[in-house]
Amino acid sequence: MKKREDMMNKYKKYFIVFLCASLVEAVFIIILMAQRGDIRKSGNKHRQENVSEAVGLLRPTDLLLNPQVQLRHGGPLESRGQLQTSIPTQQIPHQPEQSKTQQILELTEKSSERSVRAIVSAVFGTLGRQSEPNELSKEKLADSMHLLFDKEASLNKRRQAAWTLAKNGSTETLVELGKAFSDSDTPIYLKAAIVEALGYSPNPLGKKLILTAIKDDNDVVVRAAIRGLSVIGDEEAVSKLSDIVVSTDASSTVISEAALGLGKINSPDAYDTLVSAYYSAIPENADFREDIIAALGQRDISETSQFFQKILDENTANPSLRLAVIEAVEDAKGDISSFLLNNLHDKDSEVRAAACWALATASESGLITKELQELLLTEEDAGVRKRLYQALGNQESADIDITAQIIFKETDSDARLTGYDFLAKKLVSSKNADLMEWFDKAAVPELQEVALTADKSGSRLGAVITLKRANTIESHRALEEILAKSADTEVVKVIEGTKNKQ
Amino acid sequence: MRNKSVQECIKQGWMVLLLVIFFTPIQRAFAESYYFDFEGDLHVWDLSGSYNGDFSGGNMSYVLTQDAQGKLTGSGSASYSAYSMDVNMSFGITGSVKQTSGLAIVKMSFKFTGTVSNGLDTIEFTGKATVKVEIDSVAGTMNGIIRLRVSVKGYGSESFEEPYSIELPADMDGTFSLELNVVEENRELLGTGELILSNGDTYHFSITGKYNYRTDKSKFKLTEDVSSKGSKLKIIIDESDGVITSINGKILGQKIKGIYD
Repeated sequence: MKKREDMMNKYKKYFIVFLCASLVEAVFIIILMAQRGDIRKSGNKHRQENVSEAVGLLRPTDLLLNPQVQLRHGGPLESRGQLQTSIPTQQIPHQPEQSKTQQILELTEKSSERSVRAIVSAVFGTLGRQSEPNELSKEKLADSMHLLFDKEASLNKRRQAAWTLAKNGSTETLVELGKAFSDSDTPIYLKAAIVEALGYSPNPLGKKLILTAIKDDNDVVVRAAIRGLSVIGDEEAVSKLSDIVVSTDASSTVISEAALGLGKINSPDAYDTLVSAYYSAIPENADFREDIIAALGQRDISETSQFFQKILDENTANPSLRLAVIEAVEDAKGDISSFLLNNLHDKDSEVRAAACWALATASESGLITKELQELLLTEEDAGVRKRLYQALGNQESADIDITAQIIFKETDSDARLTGYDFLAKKLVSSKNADLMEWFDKAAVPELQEVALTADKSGSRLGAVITLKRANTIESHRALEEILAKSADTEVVKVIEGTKNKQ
Repeated sequence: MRNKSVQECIKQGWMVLLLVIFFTPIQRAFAESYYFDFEGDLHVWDLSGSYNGDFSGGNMSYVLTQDAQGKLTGSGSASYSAYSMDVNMSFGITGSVKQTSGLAIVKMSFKFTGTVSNGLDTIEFTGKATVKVEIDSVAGTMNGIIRLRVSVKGYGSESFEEPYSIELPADMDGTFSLELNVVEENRELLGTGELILSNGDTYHFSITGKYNYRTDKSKFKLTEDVSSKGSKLKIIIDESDGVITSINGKILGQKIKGIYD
């Protein structure tokens, strides 16, 4: 225990160092931006003063929701640019070329990179038991505000900035977000990020902007507003979303999003609305019914299992509706394994396959290795067997030796390749030398052949992934050979990526 | 009297023949090939490919494969070094691509395990990232939200969400083409079809159908073969101009619907 505390203290120290270093770098970023003429300190001050002045004259919602008001009482951002006074670039001391700060600026360019940072931040945050502060530092606020309006910046950066600002929640910040939203030049997906993020804002003005955005002409924005409203999830949100679900004017994608939004809200009213919408829909409106099923699928399985089972039992002549039920359960909260196990014996092979896939992707997939292995022995449909191997891959205690015997006898090539992938994942923890030898002799040559000759890029890449996972001497040799012979640039890229890491 | 009845018979015979000719459908000698390019509002997406991001201090890369039912599987890894700490993680990916009313939604789940090390101590963490994005066919990007949950054994967990964008694979723009080769056999239309995606992947179908001489339209039903399991399409072609008037079905787990009457 003491050792753990010591360790925790040690990491807390590292975390503090990390925070300090981040702060120093943030300052560098601002200096660098100022050098590029991107940030105008006094301009920001003026902007805040203008906003404060405007807020004093009008209700903040007027500013948020009516761009014309903004024009009269402060002018659009572009015209207010003349109030801003730039720091002359010659007054900024010369920064070293390609500084760490610049590298960090580049680092935030791509979202895939950002997500790693996000994970890392979360890890550090977890170690230090520190959540991201709700109140942004002035520098971070200024930086995000600058990015929000920077038309030269990538859409990704601007969406990130909008998200950060919306969560900040101050009235002044929301006013600026409202202006960005009302600007006709603002890209649709930035508008969408603004209204969705406002759902996380603690400021009630956020909700008002969302309720305006929900009437927007563009469905991308409307759907984002619906998602924002579902995050708020209060009585008004339930009422608004319920209206959209039963609306005859809204587009099918908007109705579908509203149903999904209701499904996320933990309220009996939301549940009742969806169930009643399902039963009042005419059977011909199959897509709508499937949307409702998907919406309810997000709730805890203990709340929906009876409703879903009824649909499965009563709609034997409607395979797509039954399939929709199983697919919806993929997103359900709680232990879905017992519900899905019941449907692994369904007459419809598509339903069985979908149930296996749901088990393959579930967070809580139960301890059902034995049942899955038994089904593998009797299942006649190769497509279902393929999904059974994937479901077994999500079982923590899958007995690799028993399953391996089934896989090596598998007659369908697609199912067999999926089985090999299951084996490759588990080989690392297996101590069975015979099995490894068997894999090298039987699976590796077949995987190599598929990686070189399959007509689908997904199949070629899939074979390469399996060989990489297996991590045996033979699989490495096969990867070398594929690298030398393959004409598929994606395959080459993936193998070279592996080699570089080694 | 006999001559008259013969003449009458001939006359009646001609009338019957005319009636038969008039009411008999014109038989088409069917051996048609059709080719259609879909570059407008209908899309089919295959996200198979590698996704990389090298950056200062680290990198992230993953590979996705999409099967004929629109299910995604993959794996990847990421590493990051900062402030004398190394973070390494590897992850498995599952997900799906679905499309309804022209809106394509991609859902992915990254289950990861990793370590944070300062050279002396190493701490393990696990986590899950759930990505839900919609495809912007114009910009060639997928935009949405990523939700992260990271747990460190003995320390607890943190979760948060933020916007997420990914670029589509370079060779994937959602366009596709359809080639149908049909012959007539016993008044039924039979044949084979190929659906070719923008990345060159080809899915094969078998075709059955009927030609309606009254409307001059052919109805085709495309059913799966091994390569296209789970996919099916119904197509109506106006034979007067060879244009598709209706297309409806499911390809790679994505619903396709277009009416052009």
